[in-house]
Amino acid sequence: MVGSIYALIAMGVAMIYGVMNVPDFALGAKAMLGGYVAFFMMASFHQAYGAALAASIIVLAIVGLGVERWIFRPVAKAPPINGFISAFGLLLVFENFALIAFGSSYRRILSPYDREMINILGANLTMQRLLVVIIAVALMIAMHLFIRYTRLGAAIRASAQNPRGAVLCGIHTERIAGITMAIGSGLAGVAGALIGPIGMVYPSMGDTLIVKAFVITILGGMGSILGAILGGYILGLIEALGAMYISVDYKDAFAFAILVLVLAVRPQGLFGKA
Amino acid sequence: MAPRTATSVLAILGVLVLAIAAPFLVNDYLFHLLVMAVIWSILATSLNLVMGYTGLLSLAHGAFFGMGAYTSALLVTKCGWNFWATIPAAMAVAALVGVVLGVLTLRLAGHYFAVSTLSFGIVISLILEKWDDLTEGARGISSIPPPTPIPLFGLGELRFESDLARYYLALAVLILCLLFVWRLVHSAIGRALEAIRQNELLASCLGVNLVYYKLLAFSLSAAMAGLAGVLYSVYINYLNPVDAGLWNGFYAVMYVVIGGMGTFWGPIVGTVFMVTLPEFLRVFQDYRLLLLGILLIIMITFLPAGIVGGIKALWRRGMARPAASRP
Amino acid sequence: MNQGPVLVELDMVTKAFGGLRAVREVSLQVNHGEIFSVIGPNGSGKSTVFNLISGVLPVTSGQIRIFGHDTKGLRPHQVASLGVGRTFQTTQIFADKTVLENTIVGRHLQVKTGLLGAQFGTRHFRDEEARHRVRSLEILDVVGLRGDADRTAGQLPNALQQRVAIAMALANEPKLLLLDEPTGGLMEQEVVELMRLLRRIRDLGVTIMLIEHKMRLVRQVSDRIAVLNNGGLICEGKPETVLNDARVVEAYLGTVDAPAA
Repeated sequence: MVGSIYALIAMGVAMIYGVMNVPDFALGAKAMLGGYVAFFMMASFHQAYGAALAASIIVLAIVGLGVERWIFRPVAKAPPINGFISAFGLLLVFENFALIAFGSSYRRILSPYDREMINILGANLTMQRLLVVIIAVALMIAMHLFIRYTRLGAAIRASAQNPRGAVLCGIHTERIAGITMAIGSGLAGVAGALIGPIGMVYPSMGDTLIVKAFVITILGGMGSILGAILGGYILGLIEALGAMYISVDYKDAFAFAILVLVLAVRPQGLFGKA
Repeated sequence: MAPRTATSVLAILGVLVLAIAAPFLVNDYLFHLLVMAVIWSILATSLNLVMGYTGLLSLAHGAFFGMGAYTSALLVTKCGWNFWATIPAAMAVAALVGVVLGVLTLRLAGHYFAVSTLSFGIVISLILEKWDDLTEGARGISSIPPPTPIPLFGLGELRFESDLARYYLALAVLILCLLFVWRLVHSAIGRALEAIRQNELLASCLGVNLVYYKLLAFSLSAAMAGLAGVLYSVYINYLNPVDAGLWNGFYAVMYVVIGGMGTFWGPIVGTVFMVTLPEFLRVFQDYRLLLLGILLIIMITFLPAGIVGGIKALWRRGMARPAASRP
Repeated sequence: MNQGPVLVELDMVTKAFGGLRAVREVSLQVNHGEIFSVIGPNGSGKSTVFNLISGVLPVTSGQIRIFGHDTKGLRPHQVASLGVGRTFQTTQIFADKTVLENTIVGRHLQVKTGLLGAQFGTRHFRDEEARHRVRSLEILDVVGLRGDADRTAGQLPNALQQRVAIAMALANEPKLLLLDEPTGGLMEQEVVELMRLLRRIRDLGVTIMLIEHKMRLVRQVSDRIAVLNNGGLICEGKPETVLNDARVVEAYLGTVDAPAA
């Protein structure tokens, strides 16, 4: 289940990196914002959970558009380290904005699905956890179909593979960048809203998420969406197993230790192109 | 680097005098900030070696800082070592860790490298936190004694109990580090590093052994970062995995960027600027990190060469104009 | 011409990128003291050959020997230390440094003082730095850039930037110089000056391998020529022989740089 969350965010990272060649370090913070959006939708505006989820996607997509336009586009021509630092600055801004505006207390999103338990293959799960997986998978399938079979999807793929060629074909790469960022941010937003009921919502929740998402995208090869998805689930699995059998304390370390080791042996990641 | 004109020499001397007199000119709180600024400047300068001159974005320097701090603190508190002996030990440990990181990651390009350093740093941080038996984990190491007194032949002892003494110690170390970096940069090694940053292929074909020089830069940088950590441990007298952890490294990255990557004075300017700035905006205390983030984005977008870079550009334009306005 | 010892030897060298063979079983020899040109239509593998010789790319099969050493597995800096210097098709220099600074960087392998010497500013270090500076200025003399020593390299016109690149390569006191299309973007007069420069360098005892498109230059300056087409060597020998060879003419047919030009 946790794998689904990782996978969603990793997908966002992979997509954005693929098209814009910028590692969006602030994506975890966007997930956090998505969580807050969902929380306020339910707590302040008394909307249903479904509407909250939808809102988290929409709001974050808009944020993503803005970020692309004003933060990343100006530094597109500069050396990549600049984009990285911009993203880092953005992360600081989002996180501290949330801290100031919403306070540091943990908020719980009261999802209706959190109360029922169902029994699958002998394990007791709350409906919420199942919902997370279902929605995540549904989104992934939707993404896949979108990218494979629509004109816009093709334009995105073209921009990722060959930006200059895409321009020559009449594709507005800047608009594509904006759309990609919007999609990626929307994915992150809904991830935050989905994990909200389970893991709670607080300003720094995006931190470990984004670092692990990066680990995943790198392991899967940056820009490879399939790698991101697979990586997300694999990592979720490894963490769960590791926590059970090896050590709960070092749970977070697995991702990183694996990353360093894999990259030492295969610098382009598992699925990446050299 | 500014030309060796009378102006720049005077400027440097002026800053030096200011730095020496500073403790007597400011209140206690500002003094504390000053000491931290000096210690962090050492860290920033070490990071600049790798980031500014060699072109590698390292997010692991907080880990080197922490390893240096912990090594020294543990050797003194648990093994009763003389403080001064722990310095080379701590630097060696940090350098070793730096070499390990380097070997694992130096073949990687750009983003992969940065995230790998981050991951590595996180692993080290976690180890420092979780290995309770060795490092006291989250409890931290407390009551770290100040540096062992140095006997001065016939004149008594040099004692470091006072904050003032430790400030001057840190300042002296900073000056030594700056001299080291200055000499390094103005030698074939420095030229090789800059060549690597600008054009690895060209550097390689000119005979620069990429792996060797990157590792060299990394280990020297890590050792210096560890040294900063040691100074931190004896100034604050208390260590825990968070304070001596990765965030110091992240801040250092920001200070270097804001001050000016790859410039000699950039790291110090950036550190001092960013440490003292919030004090003048005291009312914005809570907003400090938020403003830092905004400032970072603005700087990197409009002034990527940092403060020092901006000043240099203005200087150059100022130099050019008189010639242009002559008929 | 000197029929001195063989400097570079390619022995059935092949370079494949996946399924594409960019260089196919090329064998040739370059002799000491000669100017050896490599010509051929675009995409015939010329730059790849240079990349193989200088160690930038590994050979897929076959062997390359430089000064008798098998260069298998050698990285570019190691090949450079054997005494090889090179320039690139797209001029690679350090744009924000001065011409002199660029040249001094090229002396990297010639510097003997290490970290400690630099740190303590020993007499040895300072003398060496001075010596390298002097030598770099001498090299700038050879390429004709002495007067521009303190200008920022990136602000020079194309033709002079090319010379900076050549100066950087010469700074390592190479015995073999690989020049990849040094006349790229040069005008008539500049080509003539380059020819003179090439001869000056050759007279200083440096062997030159040259990739070129401008046939007049090739004909006038080369001691021997090799012609590549589609990665394979189709002809090799003295200029008169090669440039009139039917196969060579055919390979160029339809392109602008026909041999008769």
